[in-house]
Amino acid sequence: MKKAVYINGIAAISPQHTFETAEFLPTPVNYDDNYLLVVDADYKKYINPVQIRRMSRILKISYTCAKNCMQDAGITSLDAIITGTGYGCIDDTEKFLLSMLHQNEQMLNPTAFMQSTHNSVSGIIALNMKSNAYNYTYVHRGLSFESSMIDAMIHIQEGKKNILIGGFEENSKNHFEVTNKISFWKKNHIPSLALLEDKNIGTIAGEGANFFVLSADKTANTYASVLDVSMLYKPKSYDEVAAAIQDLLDKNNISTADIDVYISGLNGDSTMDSIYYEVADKCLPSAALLYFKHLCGEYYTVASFGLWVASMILKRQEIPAILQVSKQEKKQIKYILLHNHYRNINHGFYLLKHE
Amino acid sequence: MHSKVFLTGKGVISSIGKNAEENYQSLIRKKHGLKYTQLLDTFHKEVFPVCEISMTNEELIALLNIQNPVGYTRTALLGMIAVKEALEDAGIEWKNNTLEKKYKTALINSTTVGGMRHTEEVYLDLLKPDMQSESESYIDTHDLGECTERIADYFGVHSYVTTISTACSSSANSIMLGMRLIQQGIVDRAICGGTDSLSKFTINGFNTLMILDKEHCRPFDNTRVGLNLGEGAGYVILESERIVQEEHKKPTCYVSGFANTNDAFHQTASSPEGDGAYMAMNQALEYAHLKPSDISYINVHGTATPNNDLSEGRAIERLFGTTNTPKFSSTKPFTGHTLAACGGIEAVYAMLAIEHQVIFPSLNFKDKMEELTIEPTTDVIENYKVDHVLSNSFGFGGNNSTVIISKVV
Repeated sequence: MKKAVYINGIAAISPQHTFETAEFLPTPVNYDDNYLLVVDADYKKYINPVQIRRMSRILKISYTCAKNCMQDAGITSLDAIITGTGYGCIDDTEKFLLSMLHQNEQMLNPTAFMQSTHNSVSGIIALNMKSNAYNYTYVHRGLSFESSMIDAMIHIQEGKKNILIGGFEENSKNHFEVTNKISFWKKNHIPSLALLEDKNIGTIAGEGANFFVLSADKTANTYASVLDVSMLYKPKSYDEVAAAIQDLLDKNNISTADIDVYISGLNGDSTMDSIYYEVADKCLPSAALLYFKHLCGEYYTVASFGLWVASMILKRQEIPAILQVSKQEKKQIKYILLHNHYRNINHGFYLLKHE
Repeated sequence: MHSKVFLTGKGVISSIGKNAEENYQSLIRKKHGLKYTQLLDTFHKEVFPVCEISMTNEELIALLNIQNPVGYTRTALLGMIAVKEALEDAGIEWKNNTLEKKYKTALINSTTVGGMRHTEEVYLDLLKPDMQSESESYIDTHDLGECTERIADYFGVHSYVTTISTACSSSANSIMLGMRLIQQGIVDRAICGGTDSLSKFTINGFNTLMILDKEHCRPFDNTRVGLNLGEGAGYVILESERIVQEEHKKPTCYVSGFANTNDAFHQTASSPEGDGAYMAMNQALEYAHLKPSDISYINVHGTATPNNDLSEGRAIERLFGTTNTPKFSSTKPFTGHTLAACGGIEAVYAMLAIEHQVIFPSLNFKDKMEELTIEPTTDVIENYKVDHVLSNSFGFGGNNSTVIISKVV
């Protein structure tokens, strides 16, 4: 992309203590049931009492996160609001679906239906912020957040100043049980913080909302710049993945040796993780290998949590030990490649730079 | 000036026809697709008529010649039929993985229900510990991106695959993204549109909002009470100026303007003055460097809900005035409200209006709305000079989209 894109505000509500804290992953929280939920924020600080009673959990989480993110960036008006989500408001979807099936399509309440719409998060942000700006929601599985990022970056190229973008997903017990039947999750309960020690198939289910303000101008609060984002759909081999990374670096005149940190989407699924190790060994041997899904679990828009991690690392110039696959010596961190894939079908690559 | 992006192909399937020609013939013969459902087993099947495509999933699968038809949702199948027509119309080869041989292509799909039609059939079974094995093939088809990937795989699109869901403005928004991706040089061409199948979930959802009509819907009529749901898919092919030159194509239409705004008024209702709609139409005109008087025809969102038509009507009067307002009509009485698909289907109709120089009628209009001065066009008007068609699509979450499709001169 020709014009620089800066990350000027960030916020994450995750299964870790990431919200309203100046610290960077101070005391990691472990989960033992393969089912991670966010650490609740004090939502009533952000949402008025009349509205909060009617809002679903994911709406509260996402809206609170979005608002805090704008405060972090120090902005009150937006040129676009873009969200990414794989399942949208799955809890309300299930609620409406189950009442419909159990009550034979009678005496249904509209609230769950109204809030089940995938764009209800971006809609409620616009509504509460009184923003008439461009308002999009991407819903493409493991590319939902990547699609949002690329759209936001195009807006900056088109001359816009401040874009709010977020990835969100909520866990639901029914959905967890159903997808467990097709081996998405580990059959044995594992401690989440020891995710990479288990060598079986499946991973752990997570959720979260991670919002960012992307801007055309650098500020005192800038975390990093986003040089580029690319997506890869259904690569047939490791070579295609490596070629996509090379292509991204070439386009931005960066060599593989320039990459200081490779943040991977390692999720402990033995059938899914080998690609990351291969990239780390063959493509980026001089980069530090990091992972983050032991902190937040797996979900469609989980790369947005990875972007939060990357933003914090670049601004603070520190890598908490909990993120390191193997111990790293401290050095200056200029470039990060964030790479996440969803079941080796959807790959997303983010090239980030220290500012 | 922005670089020009052309419309080189179109494809549509709806209750009034399984391709663009059949849809066109129905439109000019005033043949609508409303009836009671034959294929969906719902409690409301004799209460709310719908615009249903009469073909079963098996018939759709046969039409597409799919050899191993496991886990194909109706939403995906409808999308594939319309994309196939659009590619053929644009003269794009796709068999044997040739689609992206020369040009980087995006598939920007949109949907609101995705695999819900099947989820609602198997869901209670899926929750049982000992579910039936047939149900398993519909576990991972629920989300909205799944149908997009089926379409991408069938035609061999891999450079840029994504899905948008902004309720009923979804496929208009997919056309806008296609424009912007081509202008940025990220892809050379884009397949843009949307698909939605009827489901119990949406029928019941809209029923709880009390905006379904038990009769045939009456857009912009004073007695209107609500919408009829429909199903279908509509796609257009957007191609860069470079492709058009290199391939010696002679497109009739191009996208001249677009805008997406938010009403920021209510989660599911539009503002009474139509602020979001006004801004979307106005910004699209500005983008296209057109004056309101340049617009030949407005294909309104016109769902026939009391709220939409009032809001949209006032926005039109504010922007276009109450005298010499362009001809306008809603094609929703023909197709029903096809949710995410309507922007794509109506973009195809806009192209048909330009190609045939014709204005399509608004069915069932009798009494002018007491709040408005303007009235929709109720008859087919042939030999009408159609240079610029403005197409509106508005959705839940305050989402307002306008696309302007213009004649290549």
